[in-house]
Amino acid sequence: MEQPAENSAAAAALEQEIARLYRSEAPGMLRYAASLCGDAEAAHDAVQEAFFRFFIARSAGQQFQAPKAWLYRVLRNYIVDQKRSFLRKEVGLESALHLPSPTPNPGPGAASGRLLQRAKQLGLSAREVECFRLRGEGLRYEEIAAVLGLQSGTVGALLARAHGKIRQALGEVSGKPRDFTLPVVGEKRYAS
Amino acid sequence: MMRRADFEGIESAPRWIVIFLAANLAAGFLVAYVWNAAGNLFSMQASSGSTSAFSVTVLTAVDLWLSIEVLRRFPRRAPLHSAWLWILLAAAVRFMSETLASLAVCGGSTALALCVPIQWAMLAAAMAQVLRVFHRLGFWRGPRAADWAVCAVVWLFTLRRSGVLVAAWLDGQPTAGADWISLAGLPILCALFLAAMLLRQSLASMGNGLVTRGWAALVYAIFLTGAAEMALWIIPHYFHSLPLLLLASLARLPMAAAFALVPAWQVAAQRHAIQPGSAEPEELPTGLPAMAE
Amino acid sequence: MHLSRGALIAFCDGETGPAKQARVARHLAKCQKCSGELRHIRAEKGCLSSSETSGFPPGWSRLLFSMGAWRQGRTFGLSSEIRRRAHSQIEFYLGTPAVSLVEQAGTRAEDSLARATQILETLLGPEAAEAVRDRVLSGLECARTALESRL
Repeated sequence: MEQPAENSAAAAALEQEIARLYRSEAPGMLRYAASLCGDAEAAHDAVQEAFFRFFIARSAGQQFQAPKAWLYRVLRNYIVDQKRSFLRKEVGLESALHLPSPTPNPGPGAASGRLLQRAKQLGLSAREVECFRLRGEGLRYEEIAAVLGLQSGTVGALLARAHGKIRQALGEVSGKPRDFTLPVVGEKRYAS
Repeated sequence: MMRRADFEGIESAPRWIVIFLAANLAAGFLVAYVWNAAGNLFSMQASSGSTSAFSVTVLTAVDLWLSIEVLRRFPRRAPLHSAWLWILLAAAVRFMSETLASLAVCGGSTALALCVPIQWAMLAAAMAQVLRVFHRLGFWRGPRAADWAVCAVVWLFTLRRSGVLVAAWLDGQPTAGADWISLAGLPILCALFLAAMLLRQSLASMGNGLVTRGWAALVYAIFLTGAAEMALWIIPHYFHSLPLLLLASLARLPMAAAFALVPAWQVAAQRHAIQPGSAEPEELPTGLPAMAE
Repeated sequence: MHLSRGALIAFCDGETGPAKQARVARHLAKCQKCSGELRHIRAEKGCLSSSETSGFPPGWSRLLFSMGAWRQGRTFGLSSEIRRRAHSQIEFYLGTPAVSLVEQAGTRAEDSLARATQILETLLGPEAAEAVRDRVLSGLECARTALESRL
């Protein structure tokens, strides 16, 4: 069935918009998803899901003021839902994110898994690590707050706390991070 | 079956308002029964009037607070922002007048009488905006014969009351400023009634969801307002033996509760949308592998 | 008087307003302790970053295929489920008779979703409508279902 010309033009414009977003955000989203999943295939699936839902929402006429934050939020929620449904029981968000992936396949996520281990050694909570990672992917505080469901002031406080823990673990002010051979520190929960 | 969670959080406000109203009405009727059985041995005003006034003040405070919560969720350019702003302002006027009346701090009854037509005018502005939005969304329904009949009753009451007051003034009898202010408010009440009829028809085309219940509460609140206005004028003229003060206090409670339910249901709907609890409409499937076949 | 760690982190991340940024920059030019602290913060920022750099990730063609399948109506199961969920949200917040208005929007799922979102945004506000829309799409495995759609 032939589409009217304006529908084709709108579809092409939407495709270009999504292509631009994919080019700019997909690599960071993949890294973030891999750090949450620990599994390359699951991370790819999650990124695909986030972008496809964005496509459906835009097809339904939804306008986004902050598409990046929305994509990361959908990505995170999708990964958490996947982990919860795998366990078939209710777990807290932070517990779900710390659980192993259903089909562990390190792939590109291996480095992220090691970083997570490093973060645990420093005593950073899951939320502090997420703030760090999201900031590393270029999200602003407001966007991080939207992804994690926090106030933007809380994001600043989490980052300050994380820096404090890193500084304490490093134990020096030389400005160069040492190799992480610290003993494992019990995970501290952040009560937001 | 009610669970403890159903009474927690601001989204349970509608339940608490209804429970509060029921408790106060039960207490009021009990006092009336005892008053009647005791042969009018103690003051009705002392026993029930002050309690009722306090309860009405509490309800208007809740109404004001919930209206603020609702308005926070509507940005300035949202279609219903101005409607909720008018509803909030009307709630503020109600709260102010109830508080001043309870504290017996007022510049005479004239000032308090002014509050009534002012809040009616604000409600009329809100209703006009709501009806415009419903019309644009496709929920518009025209008035029926019964709606016109109800409006006609209100108009007849307005004419009758006007005639009585004007005749008294022409006869040289003393007339209070509050009476003239009340009279000036009656045409606004007529417009409110017509808007309430139209809103009732629109709501019938929507159903009985959370949002619909809030607007239905506004319709009932306006009905109760008009009914109370008519009853409290008719009773002293034609039914002298009835306890006017008791009836007045009992009438104000349901009105205040109905107005409070308007933002209460809206808040419940908004909170449920943003943070759904365990009371989901239905279980959502987690995957569609079979449906894709 | 020195700057707090939070203020320095916000400055480092570009989260301070222009006026405050200028004030902090002036202070840093004069204060060695705070500028040293800023250097440490910049170093700490990198300690949890992955050294991997990935180029344009694969998956674009897969996404294109999914979007094409959706546009061509080959994802009937997914479309009907989204439509059904949109209807159930309208039914919950407005009532059963109101569902007919969403049905009139058309048979395409995105039209039903758009109509439902528009109604809820008007009556509940944009935040609530966005949350409801996200809930309609959650748990559906949209991309995988579209990918598995039959030609």
